[in-house]
Amino acid sequence: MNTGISLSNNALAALMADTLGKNAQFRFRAQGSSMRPWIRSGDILTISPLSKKGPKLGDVVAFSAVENSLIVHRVVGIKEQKYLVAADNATSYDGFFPVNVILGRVAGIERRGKKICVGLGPERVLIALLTRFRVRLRNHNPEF
Amino acid sequence: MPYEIKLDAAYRPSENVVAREIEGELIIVPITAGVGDMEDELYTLNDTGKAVWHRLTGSTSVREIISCLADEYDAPFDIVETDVTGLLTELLSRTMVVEIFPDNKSA
Repeated sequence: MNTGISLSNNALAALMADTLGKNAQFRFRAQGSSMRPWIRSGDILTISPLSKKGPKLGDVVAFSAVENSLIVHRVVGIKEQKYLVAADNATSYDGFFPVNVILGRVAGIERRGKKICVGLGPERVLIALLTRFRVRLRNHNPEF
Repeated sequence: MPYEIKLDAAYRPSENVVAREIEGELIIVPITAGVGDMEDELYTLNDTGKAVWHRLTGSTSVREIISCLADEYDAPFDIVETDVTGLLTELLSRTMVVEIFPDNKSA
């Protein structure tokens, strides 16, 4: 058996979906800087299955909307059972997505062995609203 | 603790693993204490390992799996037996498979 494995986003998304489908959590290393400072490249994320009510405003969610993609961004709006998602550093939205492309929500962040609490608590709603405000200003978009 | 693989027993994947074939590789993630941890344990099986894993249905005995693979690979039974029992011992020691006793086999 081999244990030194590097996985594609596609593989990670598939394994995450299967693990969450067993009502277990999924722990993996994040890559990228679009969610700085709350999530940094190299942080370990713990993804939990969604509750029956789906994600809430401000939740950071893992989703796979297109082939070979795995994105971890924040829900910044909810409209007609679709979720508007954007990175915290976004200049535009990722889009509105139905709940079935959202795999789970970030329940924990670890950085160099320490748990990071900021960005997932009550302040997540404020972060979501500020992101939406910033994107709207930048794009002169009155919708959301 | 030594694990003895019984040729007349059958084995099946544990409920506490996620196994998926992706891009030709069979990847196995154990779920420990409710967490599938990509930073802790993650395994892949080679082609022979995959051939064994796909036959771990809980209803096919180890002896039947070995016979089948020996035919398929045109290899001596005892050589295949060593490989199969070696892999099963490792999988069992990591609780990635569970043993089904001969009188309690189920599909």
